[in-house]
Amino acid sequence: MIARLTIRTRLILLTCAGLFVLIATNAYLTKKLAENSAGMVTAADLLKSIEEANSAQIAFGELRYWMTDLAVSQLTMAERNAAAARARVEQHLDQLQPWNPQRIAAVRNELAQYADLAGKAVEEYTEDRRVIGNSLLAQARQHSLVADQLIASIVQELTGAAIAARQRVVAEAERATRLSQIVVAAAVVLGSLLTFLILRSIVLPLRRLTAAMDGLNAGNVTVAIPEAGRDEIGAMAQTLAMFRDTLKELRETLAQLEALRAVGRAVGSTLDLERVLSLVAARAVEFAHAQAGMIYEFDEAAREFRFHTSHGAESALIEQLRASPIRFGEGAMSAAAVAGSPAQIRDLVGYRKLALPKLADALARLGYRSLIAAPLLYEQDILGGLVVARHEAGEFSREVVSLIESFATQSALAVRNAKLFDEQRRREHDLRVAHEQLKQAQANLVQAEKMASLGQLTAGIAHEIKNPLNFVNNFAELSRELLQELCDTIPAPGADQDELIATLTANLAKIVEHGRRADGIVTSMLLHSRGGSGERRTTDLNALVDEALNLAFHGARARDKSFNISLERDFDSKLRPIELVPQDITRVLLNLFGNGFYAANKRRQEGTDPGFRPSLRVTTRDLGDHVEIRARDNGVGISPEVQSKLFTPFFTTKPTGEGTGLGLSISYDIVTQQHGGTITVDSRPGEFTEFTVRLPRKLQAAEPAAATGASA
Amino acid sequence: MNPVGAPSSQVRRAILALFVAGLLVCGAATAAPAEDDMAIAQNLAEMLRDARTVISDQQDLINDPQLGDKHLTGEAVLEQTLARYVKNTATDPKKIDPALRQGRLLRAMMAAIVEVVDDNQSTINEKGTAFKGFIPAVFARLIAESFVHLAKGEAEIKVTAPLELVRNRKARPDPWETEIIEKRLLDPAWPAGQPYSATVETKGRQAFRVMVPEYYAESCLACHGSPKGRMDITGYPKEGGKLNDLGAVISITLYH
Repeated sequence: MIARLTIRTRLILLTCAGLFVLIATNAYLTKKLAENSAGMVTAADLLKSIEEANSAQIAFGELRYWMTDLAVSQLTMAERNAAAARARVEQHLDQLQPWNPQRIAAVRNELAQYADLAGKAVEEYTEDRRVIGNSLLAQARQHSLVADQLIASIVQELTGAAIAARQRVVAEAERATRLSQIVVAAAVVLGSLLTFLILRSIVLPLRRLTAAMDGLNAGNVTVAIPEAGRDEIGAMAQTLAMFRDTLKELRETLAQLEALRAVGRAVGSTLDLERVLSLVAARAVEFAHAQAGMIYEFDEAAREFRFHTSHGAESALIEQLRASPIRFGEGAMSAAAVAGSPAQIRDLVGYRKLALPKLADALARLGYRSLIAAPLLYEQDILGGLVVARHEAGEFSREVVSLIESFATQSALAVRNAKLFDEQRRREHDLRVAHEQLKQAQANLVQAEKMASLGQLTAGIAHEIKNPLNFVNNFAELSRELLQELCDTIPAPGADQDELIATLTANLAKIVEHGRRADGIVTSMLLHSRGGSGERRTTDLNALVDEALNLAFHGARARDKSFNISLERDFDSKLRPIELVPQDITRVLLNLFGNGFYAANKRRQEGTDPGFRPSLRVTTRDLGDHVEIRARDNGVGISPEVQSKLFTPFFTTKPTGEGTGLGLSISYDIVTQQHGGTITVDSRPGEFTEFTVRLPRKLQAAEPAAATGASA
Repeated sequence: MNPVGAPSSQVRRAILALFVAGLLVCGAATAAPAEDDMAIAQNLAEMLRDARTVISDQQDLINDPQLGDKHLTGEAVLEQTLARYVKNTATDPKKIDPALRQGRLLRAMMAAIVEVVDDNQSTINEKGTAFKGFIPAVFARLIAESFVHLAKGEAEIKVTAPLELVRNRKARPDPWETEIIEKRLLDPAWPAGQPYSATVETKGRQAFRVMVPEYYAESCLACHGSPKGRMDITGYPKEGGKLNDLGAVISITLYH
């Protein structure tokens, strides 16, 4: 009950109680003192009366003395002294008169008779009549004795009365003292008890408050604050609780800021998206006092949210989340993304009937009751969502919502940064590839230049060789003819002669054969090195293909003596001549055949299949409006990535110096740009590569898009 | 204590001369028959004073505790008194006719002197006691009392004083004396030392009364001077008197 009062009231009560006891005791003692004072006054009056009576008795004794002295000495001094003593006696009797007038009158009477007789005796002594004087003095003495007895009895009576009065006063004082002592003792006991209770009601809460303050000073924000009563300590406790809450909020805010700073630092310092998002999920769970945090990425193409990472979520839940992308437009996350701000589900039990029942059920089964979803937005782009789920139903606090929103913003930045980084990295890769390609192209240009020079040189050499070769061929033919004529002129050649003639003829035939072959090679070389004249001519495509195939084969053989390949020719015999630029198409075919030889030979060199035999099959078909040339090798094949760059200028998979990277690019231009045809490739790595060239019989506008697509 | 103390002879003569002159003046103011009475009164007063002077002079002897019999008998004192009396008055009282009133009264005075001294021989001769209280004043009062007795109603003499200065009630002034003292002798205009005399009825008889003033001499002030209230040698408080204050009055009553 005391604790309900304020300390001021308590102290006032204590003071009032003390003052009441003090005043009551004082009043009582004052009353008793007044009574005692009256008694004391009475006693004092009695004492004064006793003193007066004693004084009267003494004065009377003096009177008697001086009268006797006067009678003897006759000195006027004695007479005066006697008169003075008489006056004092009368004066003292006057003082005693009120006490008992009758008694005093009796004394006065005796006194007067004594004085009269003594005076007469003195007169007689003065006149030297001693006998009469003695007689009178004897009579006076009788009255003096009576008067003395009367005064003595008065003194005795007064003394008795004074003693009685004093005893009454003493008894009253003792009673008052005892009562006062009892009251004081009771007041001390009650005051001590009251003081103890009041002090206890102050000290104990203060002690608890001090302990709480010490705890707070030590940084313990979970310290228990004493219950706030109605008194000042209660107000202090209330203030302390507010201070603790503020401190707690500050700490939480600080921790949140620290968490945000950590997340921000992570976002700014690392491009490890997994790490950042895991950190965000963990901090979001921590500060939302939740149990699980999930981060989704938004697939723009599929228009759905896909689970990315989580913190605290059970493996079963993670599995469920991975298996259940959230389509845009469904669930709280979509609502949050549309609204651009966090959305909450206060109770999953009721919510699961409304949307995403499977997911809501899964969450509810694991004990989750509420969740908050915040969108990961960058400008107007939806990048994903942050979801925090907890076991407790109800609304998330405003601070938590704000914090989750901040985490979502940080996550969005992280995702955005990661994407930018990926894009940047891809661009860097592309640049690096382009750079490499450029370097390759430079090398190839140099090589091409060399080849061009070599081509020119070859053309020159071929031209120079062609004349002597013509001589060789012509003279060989002529020699064979002359030998035939010689044989004809010889009527009967011997066996040795016949054998010799036959050998010579055979040799000459071989010279002619190889001479023609050499001429063909040189002619091909001339044709190839001469460059495109742009002159379209009606050409036998099969012959052109065969010639190019031979030229390519021999070229390969010329570079590598060990090179060998099985050539299959599947020419359409009904293929009608077609109008084209023979040199350019030959260049195209040389490139295609050369690449086929390279791939097949490379596969052979790798030796993964001991039974492998390189082969190249060349097919021609007359398709009416088009003619088709297919070159299919059984080489290493081309990966899809390489296929997409196959016709890019200066792109080559060959070692530097072996390829310029321009062959297919030029071929592409020749087929598509010059002839309006298409060139496609179909390949399976490790199995085959097949190039298909389609040439229209009539020149058409170029169709680049058709040329880049793969046939597979 | 003698209010007059022990005046020197010159003083005494001066006082006597004044006394005589006063008597003359007084006599001129009163009836002629009083002349003899005045002489008688003068002589009685003179003898009283002379005897008192003797006792005053013998105080050292009287108060000698070592000495027993001082041989200061009545006759011895009378002898010294008469020697002084004769010297001061040039008359021998023994030669005055006893039949005459003056002769009778002077002889009564001389007898009183002898009687008082002789009555107090035991006191005077007491050995071992220094101060014996037998002082001139007491002696004079005793002489006066004895004289009244011896004069047999023919005359009275009393050494009195203003009432407040009277030590022995026997010396108290009667109403007439009190009046004369207060109205005459204490009047500042009263000539110093001048007696007052008058014939008045006293105790139912006509009497010639003379009041002879006596003034404090230096020797008187040892007991009657200052400081007032301090005890003197007799145990009586001093009166605080000053030199030449009225200290006593010799009152002489001569009955007709």
